[in-house]
Order: sequence, then C-alpha cells, then structure tokens
Amino acid sequence: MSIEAATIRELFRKLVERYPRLESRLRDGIAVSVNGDIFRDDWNQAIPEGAEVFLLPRINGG
Amino acid sequence: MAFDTQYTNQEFKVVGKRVLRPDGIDKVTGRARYGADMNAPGQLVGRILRSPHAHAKIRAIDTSKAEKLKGVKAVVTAADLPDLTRGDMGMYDTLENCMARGRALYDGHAVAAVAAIDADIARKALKLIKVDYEILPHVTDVDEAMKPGAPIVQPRIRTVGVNPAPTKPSNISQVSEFGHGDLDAGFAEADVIVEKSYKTEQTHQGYIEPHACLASVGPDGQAELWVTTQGPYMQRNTCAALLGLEVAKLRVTASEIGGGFGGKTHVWMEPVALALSRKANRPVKLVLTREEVFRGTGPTCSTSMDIKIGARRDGTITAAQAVLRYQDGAFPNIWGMLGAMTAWACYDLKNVKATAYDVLVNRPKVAAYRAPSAPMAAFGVESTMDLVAAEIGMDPVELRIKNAAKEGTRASYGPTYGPIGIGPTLEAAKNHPHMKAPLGANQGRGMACGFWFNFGGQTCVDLNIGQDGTVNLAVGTVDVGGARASLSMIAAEELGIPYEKVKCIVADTASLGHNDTTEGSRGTFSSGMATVFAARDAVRVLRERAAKTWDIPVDRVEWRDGKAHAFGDEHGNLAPLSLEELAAKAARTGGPIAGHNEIVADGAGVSFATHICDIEVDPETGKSRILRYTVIQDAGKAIHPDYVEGQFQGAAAQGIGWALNEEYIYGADGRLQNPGFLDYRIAVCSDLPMLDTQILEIPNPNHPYGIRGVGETSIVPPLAAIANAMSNAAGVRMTHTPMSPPRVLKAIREAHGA
Repeated sequence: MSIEAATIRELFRKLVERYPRLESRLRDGIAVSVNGDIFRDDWNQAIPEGAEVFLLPRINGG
Repeated sequence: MAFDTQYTNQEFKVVGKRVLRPDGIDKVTGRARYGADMNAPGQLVGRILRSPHAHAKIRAIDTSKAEKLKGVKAVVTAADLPDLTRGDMGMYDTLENCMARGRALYDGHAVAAVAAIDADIARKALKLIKVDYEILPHVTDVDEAMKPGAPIVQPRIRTVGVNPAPTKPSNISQVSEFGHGDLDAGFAEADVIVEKSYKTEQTHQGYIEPHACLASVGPDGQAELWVTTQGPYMQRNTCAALLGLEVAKLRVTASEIGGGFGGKTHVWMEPVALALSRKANRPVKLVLTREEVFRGTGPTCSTSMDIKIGARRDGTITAAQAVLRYQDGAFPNIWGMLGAMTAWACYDLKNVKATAYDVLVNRPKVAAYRAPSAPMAAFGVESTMDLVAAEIGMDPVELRIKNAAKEGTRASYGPTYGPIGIGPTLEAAKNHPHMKAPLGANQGRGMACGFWFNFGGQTCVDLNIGQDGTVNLAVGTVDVGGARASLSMIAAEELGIPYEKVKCIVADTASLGHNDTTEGSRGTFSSGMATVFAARDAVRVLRERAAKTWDIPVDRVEWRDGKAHAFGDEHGNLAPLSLEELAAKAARTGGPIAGHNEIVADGAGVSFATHICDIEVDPETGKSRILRYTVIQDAGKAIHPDYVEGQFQGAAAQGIGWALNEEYIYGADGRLQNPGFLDYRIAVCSDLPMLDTQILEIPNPNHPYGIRGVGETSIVPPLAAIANAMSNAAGVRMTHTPMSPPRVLKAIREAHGA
C-alpha cells in the first residue's frame, strides 16, 4: 500500500480511513518505527520524506 | 517549551563520575521506608484466601462465619469488586486476576480477603471462609496445553493471528510471525543445517521485598495508596478504574522499592486492599508472604522452542528459523510474540523467520521479567549458534562477528537499524583478556549475545530552586537502579553546580503529571531527557532574573559554570551572578525559580550485550561453579558508571540463577511445590564470582546525552553463555534450563553410556 503522511498522527488517520477495523488496534497500542527508531506514543513525530516506516506491537519491558 | 532531543556530544563535568549514592545511608541503616514500613492510625491487617486448586469452578463462597468473628472489620469477594471494565478485556483480566470471579484459574488465585484488627484474627477469619469448589481438569505444561483435547483455560479465547479465524476455543491465544526473505531458498544454500529443541522452566523475578501496600479509602471517595511498585501512575489509573474512583482522588505514593525487575509493573493485591479499606472504612495494610508472591504474582513464562540454522562453511548464515511456544499463565498476553521479535535481533540475516505461540495454562498470570521473553529465545538461538560453529569448525566469536547486525541491517523484526553496538561488544569480547585465560580440568568457556529494545514514554519532571540555591528535582519514575543519583548528576551538569546541591525525590501521583511505569530500561533515559530540559527551562528563568537584576536585555546574558554572565561591550564588566545569589533574591525578581518539562521520550535506542563465562562441572555430581564471568554491554552514555556496572552485574546474576537452579515445580495436582526461597534457589553471593564488566558507549542519537537503557539487556545472554561453557567443560549439550546438578548429571551419564 502507499500512503502519504507527514506525521504518525496523519499516518494513523489515513490508515483508519482506508481500513476502519484498524482503529481498535491503534487505540490499544501500536508502535511505529521511523527509520529504525521506535516511537510508542509520540503521534506528533514527523515522518521524513522517503522514511522507512514499520508498524509494530506496542510492547512492554521489565 | 520544545527542546532538541538529538545527541550533541556535549563535554561533561559531572556526568560520568562515580559520586556517592543518595540512598545508601538510609538503606544500610534501615531508615529507608519500603512497602511494609508505612502505618496509619487505626489501620487493619489484610489477608487473602487463595485457591488450593489449579482449576476449579467456585460454586459458592460463605463468608458469614468470618464476618461474625470478633475483630473482623471487612470481608471481600468478587462481589465487592463489580465489573466496571466496560468491555476492556485487558482490564477485565486484571480484575479477575486480583479476585477470582466464579472460577479459580491457578493454584494461588485469590478468592476472598479479610481485614481484621490483627494478623491472628485475620488468619482465623480466612479459615472460617468456606469455598465450595468443583475441581476441573487442569494443564500447566505449555506443550500439553497446545494439544487437542487439553483442558481449556479460557473458553472465550479464539486464536488470533490465524486464517481462517477459528470458531472454537483454544489455549493458543495468539500466533505471531516475524521475518523476511525465503527460508527454503536459504536452507537450500546452506552447507550445514543444525536443528535443536529447547525448554526453559518458569522463573520468578525473585525481588527480595514482597508486595506490600497501605490503602485508605474514605467515605468521601478520597483515597490514598502507599505501595511498592514500579508504576505509581499505573497503580492509580488501574485501581481507580477497577474501584470506580476518580483518578485525581486516589493519591499513590511509591515506597522505596526492594526490587521489581518487571514484576511490579502490574497491580496484584492493591485493588483488594482498597476494596477492604472502603468496606471497613479504615486503612488496611496488606503484605504478601513469600509463598503468596510465588503463587499469586507474576513470574515469567516457561517455554519450549525449535531452532534451525543453515550456514555455509565460511560462516555465512543462509537461513534461520525459530518456532517458540511461551506460556502466559491463565491470561492472554504477548510474551511469545516478544520472544519472536528478539530471537534473531543480533544478526544480519537474509532469510529469517520466527513464529511464536502464546499459550494459556493453569499457572499465575505471567508478568514482565527484565528484557521479558528475550532470554529464553536467546538460550535456543545462541546455543544453536555454538553448535553451528562446531559443525563448520569456526570460532564461535568469529561466527557471530561475521553475521552480526550493523547500521543499515534490516532487523529480523522489521525496521532497519541505526548505529548499534552488537559488533563492538563482540570485538571487545574477542580482544578481552578473559578469552585468553587458561582453563583447567573439567572447566570450559562459553559466550553468547543478547538484545533488548529499551523504551521511553510519558515523562514529567519538576525542578525547584530553593532560596539557598540548592535544588529539588521531583521525578515520577521510580528509582529501581540508581536513577536518583543519575538524574541529580544531569541536573547538576546542566545548572553548572555541584552534584551535592541537588536532591532528587520520587514524587507522589498528586504532585506531578503522569509518568509511565518504570519499565523497559526507561528511567534514566526518559527522566534524564526530561531533567535536561527542565534544567534548561530553569536556566532560561535564571537568565531572565539576571537580566532584570542588571536591567539589561536577556539575550545579553549567558549561563556558564553555575553563574549568569553578562556579555557584550556595554555589559562585560558586570560581576557574574551565581545561582545562590539569584535564588536569594528571587522574591524581588519575579518569585520562585523553577523549571519543568513534560515529554513523550521516544527513540530509546536498542541495546546489545556479549557475555563470556567460565564454568567448572563436577562430573561425579553434575554440580557446576561459575569461575569467571564478564559482561560487555553498550550503555550509550554511562551517567553514573557504578550504577551501570551494577545493572550489568545484577542482570547477569539473575540470568545465572535462572540458568543453573531456578524453576517453578508443579505437582501432578497442578499445585506449586516450591513456593519459597529454600526450595526455589536463586543465585546468592557465594554462588557467584566477581562479575566483571566492560561498558561501551555508542551514543544514542535520539538523546541529548546519548543515553541508552542499561537495566535489562544483560539478563539475556547468561542462559546460553552458561550452556555453551558447560558444553565445553563437560561435553554435554544442555537444552533444558535450569541446568541443575541432577539434570547435568543425567546428561553426563547418558553421554557416557552409564
């Protein structure tokens, strides 16, 4: 799939527009890897042009 | 105010020094107040009745005799904790784990609780509670729980992550898969393929301080909770939700903590203590026994797994596969998935796959344990790496160096790595004197690598400057590993004042904004970041006050070495103003001087470690002894090297105990057989040599000081490092932890045909 988004918030909004069933998963917690750095909470995080983006489970530590 | 989180290679005057710890005297003199050390006027003693059955329907609970006992002020069951979770299944599971709701799901599951005027009466009251159980079939082994026909632990569970979506209940709550490339093609390219299966038994974090709290709920809905926890805000939010309290009216204070290691990132009996207090209208102190800690709180998973590696004779790994089966206790979770994400994270692999099964059994709800799930997967992977090295005749360190992940490597769990430290830790191991030290008879050396993610999260810090220029730093992350010292050092560094001038406290939940739980090695990373910014915020105020004092523009004032300096041709002759001078006159320049920061600290930076272990195995008894142990780990930046080394040593010590002796032993009746430190044997000082450490500093680009979390990663390599050393010492490949003397002796005898 191809989505244009400048921030994690915009990415999530557009994902839900396209795949409404994702909303509950995003609400429960999804982390986003942007160019290898994992962001669990900061939806304001900018996504640079051409960045590698991965959606990951929002995992916990000890 | 926004600040730049990027690493700047700043020169340090305080950071990196080994200053005195602020909590040392209190801890060695007994003044430190732990969970059980707080008392309140009129407090009652709380006690919990627990299921003796692994799986049972609760037909009825008769509390009438207990309620009539003189001195009993409240008895609670699930009826006193109504379901307020509104369809949130994770929260419902927490509620049901706190107090059984019509069924007991494991030996030790709470079924009722009492509050009485003393402990004797509370114990007598528990004996007067009659629970009518209908015993159900149970399952405690992960592999048995996956078989068709196994007793179903949670009838509502349908396996997630498979197509088509199942319609029948299963103990497999989730199937997860990570990886990339073409496994079949990769294995076809291999000159050698090694496959091995492994098992690890369940272990507990073994924190020395049992869970304890003092709960007080008034008739007006105002409540207080004093508790040993890694997450006071988690406690506040969860307890408020479960009891229907307003968040702002429940004030939670984290006590000094006697170890948590992930086991204190959840609520266990705290909602029960609050429910007792609410019913009795008196404060209730609830302190678990060690037996209750083992039976009724959250250990880590037991696992079984299959590992397969294909490699060429030059050492290139062409394909790698892991199938992991993790038991999550009686409630669904993602611990197997975490194992799959971490299993191959150390390596640069073209074809890789990890599949995880999260499985329900009749055991306690599994909780995080220091780099949760990674040590078990690493046991399988790193043991198999040594088998591959032996098969192709290559040095195990060289095999790992050849395949190590590096900047630009696509991690097995998806993203591409930035600057990382696995290669440098391996090179440091290769060149370490330990690697060249001679070994004697029945002695062997092994090594292994480990990975952990690290996290940041929501963080809030207040920095207040007193009238004499000393500084209070209030943070919301619990000090589990020396954070008060490290954060004080960071504040001192930014303000340009001595470390001794800063006093750091862990604030209660009513005094500071929300902070996520202290987990994921986040304390120094995230509160450190917030402290940097809070101090810079205070410096901004200090510059403004100096400008007002001098009646010059603020942009003509700079902060250097703990003083405001005016600069520019017209102001250069003004004498600098110290922090003390500015603080003393704060009332006349605008009032109190403070700095604040609220941040979502993300980009924590992944962490790697390599360990070297020498072991001696007695071939007649199977007893082993660790002779020498070296931990090499990337810290990003070691703020207080003593504490960083302490984290490395503590994690390795727990890993050594896990590897050699620790295990939950269940009887055929599904009851835990060894809920105490006499029969569940953690590593003690006499079991361990000095654990040597080497700190590497590969800065995290996403932190102004380059900090990475350090608390968890070094529990990951010990299981495999010890298995590899034991293989070289005794000629037996141990595939089942703990590698206890009976198990090792059996393997030696089988190997020698005895």
